[in-house]
Amino acid sequence: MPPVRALVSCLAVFLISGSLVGALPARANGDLRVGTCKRDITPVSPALQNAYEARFGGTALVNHSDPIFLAGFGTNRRATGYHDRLWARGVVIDGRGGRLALVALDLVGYFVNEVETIRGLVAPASGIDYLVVHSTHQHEGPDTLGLWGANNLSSGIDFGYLDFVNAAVAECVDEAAANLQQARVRYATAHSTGLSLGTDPEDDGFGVSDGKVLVSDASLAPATQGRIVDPRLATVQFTRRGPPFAVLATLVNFGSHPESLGSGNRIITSDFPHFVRERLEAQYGGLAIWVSGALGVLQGPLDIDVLDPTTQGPAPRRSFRFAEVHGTQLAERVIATLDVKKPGHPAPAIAFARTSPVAVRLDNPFFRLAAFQDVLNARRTLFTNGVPDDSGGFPFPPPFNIIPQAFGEDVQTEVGAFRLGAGSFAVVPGELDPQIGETYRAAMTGAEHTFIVGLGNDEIGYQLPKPKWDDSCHSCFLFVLFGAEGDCPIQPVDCNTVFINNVGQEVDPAVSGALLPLLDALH
Amino acid sequence: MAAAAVSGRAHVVAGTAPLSWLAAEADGVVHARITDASGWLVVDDPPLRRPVVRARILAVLKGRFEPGQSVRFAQHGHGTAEFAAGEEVLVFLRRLASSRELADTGLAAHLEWVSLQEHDAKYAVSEASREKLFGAVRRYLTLPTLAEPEERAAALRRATHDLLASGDARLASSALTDLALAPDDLPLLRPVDLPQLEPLLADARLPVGIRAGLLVQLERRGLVDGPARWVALLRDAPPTERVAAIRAAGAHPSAGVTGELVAILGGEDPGLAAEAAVALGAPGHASALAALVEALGRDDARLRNAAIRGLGGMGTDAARAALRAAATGHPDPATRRRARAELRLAATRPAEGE
Repeated sequence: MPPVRALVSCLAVFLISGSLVGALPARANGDLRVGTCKRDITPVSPALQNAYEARFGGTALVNHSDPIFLAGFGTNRRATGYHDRLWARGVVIDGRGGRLALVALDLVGYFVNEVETIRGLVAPASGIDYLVVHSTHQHEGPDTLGLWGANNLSSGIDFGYLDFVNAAVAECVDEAAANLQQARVRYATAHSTGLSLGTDPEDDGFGVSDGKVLVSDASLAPATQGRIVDPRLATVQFTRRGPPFAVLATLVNFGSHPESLGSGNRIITSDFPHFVRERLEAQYGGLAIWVSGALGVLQGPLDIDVLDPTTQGPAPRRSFRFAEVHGTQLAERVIATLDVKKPGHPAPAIAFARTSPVAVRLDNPFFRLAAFQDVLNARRTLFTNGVPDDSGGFPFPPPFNIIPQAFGEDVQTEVGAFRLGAGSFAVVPGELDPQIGETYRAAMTGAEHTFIVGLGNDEIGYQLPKPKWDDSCHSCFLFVLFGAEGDCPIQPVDCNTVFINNVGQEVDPAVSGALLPLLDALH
Repeated sequence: MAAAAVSGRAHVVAGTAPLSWLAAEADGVVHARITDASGWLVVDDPPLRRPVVRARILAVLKGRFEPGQSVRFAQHGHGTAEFAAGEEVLVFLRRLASSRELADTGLAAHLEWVSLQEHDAKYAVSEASREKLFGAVRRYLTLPTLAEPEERAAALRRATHDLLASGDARLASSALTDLALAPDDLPLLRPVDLPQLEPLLADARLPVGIRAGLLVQLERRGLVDGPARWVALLRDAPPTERVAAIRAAGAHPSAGVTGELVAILGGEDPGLAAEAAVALGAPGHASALAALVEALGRDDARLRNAAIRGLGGMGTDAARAALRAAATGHPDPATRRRARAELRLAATRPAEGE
């Protein structure tokens, strides 16, 4: 059993390996203080340096080699230019119960080992008790996970760029922590109903569609033929403490893949969250932050239509106009719901909890093959009984004895949660099925507004309820590899991306098993 | 979407699907000219709108179609092939009624076909690639009809070679995926093939990623002297591909590769030197310790960070000692901090053997 460190500040103690080792320092008088920051993390390669300068002005510093492989869809998708910048946008929240930092990255994902590096780079003087590094999971930026290089067997990671991002995030947190201001916090939860036209067979009118129907989804959601989305637009806004209550930051949480430009796009962009943020900042000032929620089983905008107010027709799909219309409408829904006359709470209680490491059994033989080949970020290792295990070999009998497998038993990740007054946040390490998100929200008893921070501090892939798990793809691994899945005793074989790109059926038992007790402790 | 970086010969939608999978899974495979890539199916009652692609069939490789016939199909999936009117492409079609997402929708009453091509898996037909592409796909399609293993192996071998020799990086990548997962005793690459395949290792038309992938497969089968080839790849890669060559070679250590990477690390291009520093962190380059330590003293911050990453990857006691020295004694505060962060990660794992 690996050591489990849990940090539960609401109890004003933290435990390491089950031992009480200290208490959180008392700070100030419990009033809320908030600092914000942002850093440009747009990848700039030598070949695109001029393009960056032409688009955004100023002098571009090269932070990435050529080419920049775009992540999220197919391999060998090379960036050719820029639409808008990618950002690290952060907020440091200090008050009664601790000091939290949340930084949202316009990236496809960020592994926990790099997050740990960032934690090591943040200045101790910043006094951060719990840092959450979230990725929006946008599909129009650089490969930071290693899955989308020149071909299926080569990595697209530029480690120099990761070093650049790590330093930028740490600086961002330090800057925000050094500029805390007396603040208030207020919440609103809008609903996305009606944000899309609902005329596509896969569009139910929620401004997001469900691209993968799992085996039992039809019985769970018969009215939508099994399509399940989370329509909440949960929002938290920080203002200065005194009149005129100027906005410091507005954070919006919604479950949808930022991928509206589609797989044909080669222009770097943060996708529709860019337009959400632009509209919110135009309305309120301050810093707008997008946090993606339960988007896991292919919830996204690829099969929806939105009404372009200029043409009074559907905005063309896979276009920047679509992203602009969609993003702006999401922001308008938030604006219509947020009551800015409410001054907000000046001294909300803060509580947080984290469990790390969380061991998740690696069942996926395809991932074991990738891990052996070091295609994934090589700094991410497997573990056996809590000890790093880089072993591997050729475990299959002839003629399959040429297929390598990494032997380590588990992937290690982390989960967390925090409360801030009337709001409660679950921090999950991957792409969450909205059905599980509902379970987490239900566990946040007493919280008026609930948030799901997807891809928080890690990206371990899809997390779906075990009863929905179809093991045919993993069980038929050898048959699949050799083009003979029809001969596998298990039929039919479903190797949809949700299953083939999945750590395995133990993801949810492990993650929920670690997270739900934290939510219970905080509520 | 989190895609695995591996892909098999069937049912594996990871990254870009290989041709062999598309051919096996499709109910229909046609060579077609796209006539309308931006059309819509519009139904008034009940209201329904869905993008559809229209194409005129030029040749049929699989399925009950006729040349000259017009076909209309939907696209579905996590990213789709981006077609353009007028272009000639291979289209891989499946009956819409077998799609879990679409079969029960109103679309099924109006449309029979959906494309299998996710993730921009478009296979354009050009004069240069036509013969090789069609030849390979036809061979994939004959596989189920071949009873003898030798016949199947021969067909697969020809298809693989056609794609590798096509000069098209996407086609070659598809073949490499198949090669990487094929068993050793399936003779897809043989000594007799070397006169055809060896020139590809030095073919500047092919990206280094493809050349490196082919080298891995040839080396695995004992057909070439790997270390010497990796050194040659490092030396011969064009300037725009040197980074890719360094990344690929780093995972294939030998005295020659280590020496070459150390030379690049000591060179004047800080970007390449940084790539070499990270590559030297892969297992098998422990003799590069002194060079990485020396790189910590260079002016370029990116290079220093890369050297720290390389030392962290090396993971030996000596590498950790070097990191500790940098964490406490390096004159640059940012470098000290970065070294401390690397040690924090290193603390979670035992030291590697020297």
